[in-house]
Amino acid sequence: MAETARTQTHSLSEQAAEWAVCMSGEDVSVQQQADFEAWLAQDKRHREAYAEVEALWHSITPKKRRNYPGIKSLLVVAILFGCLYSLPFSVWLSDERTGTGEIRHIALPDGSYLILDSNSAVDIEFDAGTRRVILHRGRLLAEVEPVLSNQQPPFIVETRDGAAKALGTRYIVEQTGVDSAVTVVESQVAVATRANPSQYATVQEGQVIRFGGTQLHQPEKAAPFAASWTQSRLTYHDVSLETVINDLARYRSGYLSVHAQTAQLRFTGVLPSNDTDAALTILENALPIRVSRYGGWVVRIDER
Amino acid sequence: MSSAAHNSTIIIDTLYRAHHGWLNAWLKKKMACPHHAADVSHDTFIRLLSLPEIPSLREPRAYLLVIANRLMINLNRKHRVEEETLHGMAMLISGQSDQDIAHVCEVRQLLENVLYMLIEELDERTRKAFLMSRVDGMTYTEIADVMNVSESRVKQHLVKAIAYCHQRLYQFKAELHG
Repeated sequence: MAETARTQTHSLSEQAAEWAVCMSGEDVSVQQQADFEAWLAQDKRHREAYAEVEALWHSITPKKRRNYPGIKSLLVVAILFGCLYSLPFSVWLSDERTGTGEIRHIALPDGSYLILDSNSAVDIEFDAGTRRVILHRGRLLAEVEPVLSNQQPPFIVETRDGAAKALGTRYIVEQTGVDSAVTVVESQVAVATRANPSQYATVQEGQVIRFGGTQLHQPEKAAPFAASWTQSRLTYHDVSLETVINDLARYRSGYLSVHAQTAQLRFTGVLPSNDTDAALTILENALPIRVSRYGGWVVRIDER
Repeated sequence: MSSAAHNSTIIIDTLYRAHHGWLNAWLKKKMACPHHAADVSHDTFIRLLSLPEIPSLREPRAYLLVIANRLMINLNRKHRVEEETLHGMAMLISGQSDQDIAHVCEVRQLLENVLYMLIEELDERTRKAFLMSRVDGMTYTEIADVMNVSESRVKQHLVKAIAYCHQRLYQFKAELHG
């Protein structure tokens, strides 16, 4: 009797594992999706086993994520976080910091997540009435779970200069030495300065807005591939070498300097942010420049 | 800061008084050498102390077992994860829906540790495929390239790994619910 039960559990584990592996793949066909749903609907034990296997599969979070989760993951999220939504959030506080060259994915209790860029710092405050992320330094991309009930508090990212409230799903917030910027990758975001917290400007998809503590600038067209840094890729179209070097410095320990005149050269291309030495070599091949390294720590760029 | 550190010392002290004798007895049953057992039970508490944040420990014995089991496996590489540890873990997962978020996060971390232990019971290639997928976030195609096998073989490895972990953890399910 016990033996039969064990055999059944065994084959059920395998079936559920097969589906979990299949549905996590890059190309799930419509047929597979339909078969999967049919299998789920077939038996209550199938749904249970799948939820268990999914929980195991996702209990280890990969250090880097290649793709944004698509619709199929939303289904999984719906299954997994269904129970979490119904819970009253207890206070969930966390401080996260990334080192130079590190990009970290942070899962939030409501199923949203953050990608924290190199050399950045955030505080995360989540409880029954708050979904707030405070960016102290650097840059983050927020992927916000769609609001399922109107009881859920708004999702807000704050910087020194103001606040950006999610009206949709995916946006980037950056705090530089002098100001802050919000780039909307998907849907819309409401942005307000710290001086006028009730005066929101709505920023549309594909736009970027820069703002200081007291002044909101006009939204502008965002650079294409503004989110490519989350994939450890820096994408440029006709920008100054100075901009490129400033970005690379974010991912590199040590001192990176460029001769003033050389800094005005223009660059178009893609650079790896997780290998700044390779990035410098690519620049050296693409532009008439010479990269001199002093002890691996100090890098000086001059015109060739 | 110092008061937090002070608090955690009190927590550990309470835990130690309440569970050290029990843990030591359990380890003695599992390990041939009583001195090793004493070392491991002591190290388990040291390990708890060295955590950046002391978990709230709703089920302290389940936590202690996972840590102690990890240390035992480190001493003797061929050791399998003990049934009691898995049973405790299964209990923690099954009671998750009525717990608060902080507890859910703790359980998740503990589960991650248990999975790493279970994965060590599998053959080298299966383990490697699993770690490349779950820890390094590599796609099936990338893993296939590195391992020099077909993508469907990679999927077979992953299915094997995850089904094995599921089966080991959920073999107690009938007992828990029934």
